[in-house]
Amino acid sequence: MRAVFGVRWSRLLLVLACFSVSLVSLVFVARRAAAFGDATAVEIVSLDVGRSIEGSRSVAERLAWEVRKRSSVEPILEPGRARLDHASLFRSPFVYWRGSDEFPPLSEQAIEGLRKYIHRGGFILIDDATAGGEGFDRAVRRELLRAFPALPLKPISAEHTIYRSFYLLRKPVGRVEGPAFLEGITYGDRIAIVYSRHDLGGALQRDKLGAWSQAVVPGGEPQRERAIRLGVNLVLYALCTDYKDDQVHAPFIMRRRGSGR
Amino acid sequence: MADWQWQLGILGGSTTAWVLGLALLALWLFELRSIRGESDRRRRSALAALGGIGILAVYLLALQVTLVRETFEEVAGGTGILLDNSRSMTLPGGSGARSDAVRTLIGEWQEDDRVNPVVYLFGSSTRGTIWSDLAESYDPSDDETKIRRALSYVLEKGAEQNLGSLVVITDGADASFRAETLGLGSGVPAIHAVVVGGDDPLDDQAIVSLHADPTAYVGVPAVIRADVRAVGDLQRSELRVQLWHENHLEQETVAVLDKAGRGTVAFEVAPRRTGRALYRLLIPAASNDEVPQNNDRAVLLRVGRERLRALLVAGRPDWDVRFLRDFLKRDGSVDLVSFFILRAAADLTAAPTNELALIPFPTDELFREHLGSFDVVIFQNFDYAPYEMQTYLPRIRDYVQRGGSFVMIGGDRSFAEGRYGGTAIEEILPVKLGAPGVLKGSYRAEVSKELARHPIVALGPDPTLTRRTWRALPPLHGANMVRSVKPEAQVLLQHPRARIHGGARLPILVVGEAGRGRVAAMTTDASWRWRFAADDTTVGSDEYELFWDRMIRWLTRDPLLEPARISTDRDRYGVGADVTVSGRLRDEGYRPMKKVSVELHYQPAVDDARDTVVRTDQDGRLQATLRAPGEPGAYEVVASVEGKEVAREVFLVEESGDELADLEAIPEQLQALAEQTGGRVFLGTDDVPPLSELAATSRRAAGLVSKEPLSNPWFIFLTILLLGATWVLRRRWGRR
Repeated sequence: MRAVFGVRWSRLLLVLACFSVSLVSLVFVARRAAAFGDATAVEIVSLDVGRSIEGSRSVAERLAWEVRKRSSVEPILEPGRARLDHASLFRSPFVYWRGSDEFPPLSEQAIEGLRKYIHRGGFILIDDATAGGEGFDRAVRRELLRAFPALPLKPISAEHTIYRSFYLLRKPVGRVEGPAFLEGITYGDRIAIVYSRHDLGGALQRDKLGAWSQAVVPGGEPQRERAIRLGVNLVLYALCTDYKDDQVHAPFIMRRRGSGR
Repeated sequence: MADWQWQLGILGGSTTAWVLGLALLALWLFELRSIRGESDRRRRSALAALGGIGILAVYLLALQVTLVRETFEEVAGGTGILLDNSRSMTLPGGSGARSDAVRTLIGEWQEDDRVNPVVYLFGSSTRGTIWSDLAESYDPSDDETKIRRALSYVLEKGAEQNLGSLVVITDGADASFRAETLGLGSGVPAIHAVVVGGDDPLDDQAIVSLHADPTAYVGVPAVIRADVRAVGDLQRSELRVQLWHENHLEQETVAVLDKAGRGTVAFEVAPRRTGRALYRLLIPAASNDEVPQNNDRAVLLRVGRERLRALLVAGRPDWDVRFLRDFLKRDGSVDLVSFFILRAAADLTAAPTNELALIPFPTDELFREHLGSFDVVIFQNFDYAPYEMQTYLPRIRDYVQRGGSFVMIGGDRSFAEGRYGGTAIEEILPVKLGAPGVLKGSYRAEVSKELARHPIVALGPDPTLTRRTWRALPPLHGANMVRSVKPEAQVLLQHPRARIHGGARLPILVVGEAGRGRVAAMTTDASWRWRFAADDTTVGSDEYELFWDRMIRWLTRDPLLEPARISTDRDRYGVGADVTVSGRLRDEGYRPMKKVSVELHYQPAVDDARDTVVRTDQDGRLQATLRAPGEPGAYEVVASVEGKEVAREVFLVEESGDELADLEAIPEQLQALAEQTGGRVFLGTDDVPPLSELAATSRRAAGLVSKEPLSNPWFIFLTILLLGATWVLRRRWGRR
């Protein structure tokens, strides 16, 4: 494959230059919505589990907006909600589950829905809004263990495709710096559930006037940008899985990783 | 008397004999009692003895004792001749061709008209022939020597014909024959064998057999093995084997032979391109090689790719793309190259290039340099215009028309929405594109009634269950509008309500052919919904995968999914051999082609061969026997219906064929057979006696011989005399 996709720097620069022409915001707003309707469009559905947390849906909206602005993916900008024990769970293969408090054990129906959702190809991004608190973390681990006793949450390697599905990232960050890794459950040959303890949504939230809702610590705005990029990467990973592991991408990514050091 | 057996003729058999015996015994005892008063002891003894003997004589007469014996007779037995009609009989042996020696022998035998044998020819088949003109008509041309099969056939027939002896005339060139496998019991005729050429073994080097997987892959080493052997004087010579391909000597090796003169050589080849690859194996013929025909043999490899190479190009990531890519990646038979447009010109990444994992779209590499290496190209919601691809569209068209395959999957960047109208892509698509337009809303795609057997949509074992399965799948959402379906294209799935220009239903899946390639147009981007849905009763993960698996395999002409298939009974034949062609023909809707006339002809054409016409049966099946071309080479047999080609199959014709490949005679097996049956074996024809000497007699049952020794007048007279004497003496001596 190296021979097939041999590097031609002049072509590379030409194409990237074309890509970088912006007039972005105007075109972006005017871009077509999903032509065939919402049923087949990319939608980042927020999940209601236990007591719904303030702003979960707005985080999903902000993430959809960032993905649409930065990539060719065209998510629905006003995504819906879903419940684990309801057919609404299957409105989209991407679910955003944000929480801060411990919640009671899920019903058997919800556990079965969770299993079925993952088995049929769904992806869940779990975001611990407390970024270090114990209640939500304990409940999430308990319920995941119930649903997938043979598939424990494991740290995701820094070499995983998630860190290069769109942006080249070195480690996960959110509103807080948090652990140096994401955790995930691997189902088959893909990571089907990603668990972040960095309050990713906190870095994405804006108030009604468009200002950032929360400060990002300790890295400030550069860290917020890296958190947004992580969110974009997670959506692109859910859509492309290991596409960036294809040999066609390897020489480019290795070269850029090298130049970044 | 040892062969005699006695029987009782009295009515009632032994039971009556016992009853009668006891009654007569009682009568005799009564008589003894009646002479008790006789004072003269001599008189009393005489009366008792005469009375007892008389009663016994009456008893023996009443029993009607019969002696029975089975008799046999020796008769002249039938004589059969089983004559080898294979091509190896044309080879040299002794002073001339083996067939000439056979004609001479038969001519001599025919001079003696005392024996009129039953004659069978054996080779590819065993069949009877006429004795009287055998010497003139004998022309061995069969492509096989199967002694066991022929003997079994004739012995079975012989049982009905009272064969007393069977003379097998053969060169014995059947290495597979083993006498013990016939399982002969008693009562078989004497089997004599005349091993023609057995007195003068050949000098020969030969490629006995070739072994290679008929399917090979580009760039993947494939092994061709050849079993070779040397006999006669050539067993002491070096045996070199060469591998030729496309008129080039590619490899050469020297075979290591065992004591029997046999050995194996192997060549590793790496086919360079797909299609058929003909490899010749050649033993340079020595000047004294008596059968140079078996020095040159060929093997035909069907070269494909180890895995199907699929190119998936998507205009942007979405769920339809994700599910299809996941399926293709999981499929071990597919080598997938996928390319997704992750960022369009209008996107604002907010990052310099070196912080992005994006690579340029390698259009030139994909669509100019390596397009031909793909078996199928998939455009999934991909619009070409932003990527300066106008110049590549004609290349894609040409690639398909040369035998590639192409699928366009719907979305807001596909079909007319992707501005493909009027382009080279529209030329190959099975639909005509009109003005851009999409249909929204959910629906369940319906299978066209006439095409429910088509493998792409045949999700059930029959059309009824297929339609039921489709009705049960989760609904689709949205579709690209098209103007019309091209003639010859097949609408496999259609919208239940929406219609296009002209009133036809909006097609959802259309397939067709473009030149030598195949194309499909899927106007929806929602097939992933068959895989991902909440409802347990309708979600069809299996159906989703079956659908796309069949789609890819049909597009790339998987032989198992072809509507019409024919095959030959063997891969290789000798010149002029019988080629049995069989197959099953279905029309484009995968319905059996019942009772149709099918023309079979060779390609390349054979000058003196005429087309063979056969009719299919109710299931569309056919069978025919053709004569192999007279010139060695690779051929295809082509089946056509009403002038349109429907199927073809490839085979080889060799000068040698398997028949001339291994000419080792097996006289020891024929010797064992003769010993077991009381026959004789002759090596060569010089010492063979007249046929009458080999003809046998047989012993057969001649019926039963019976005698009734007591049923003669003398015994009856004696009995009457005894009874009369007893009565006279009783009266004279004062008794009644």
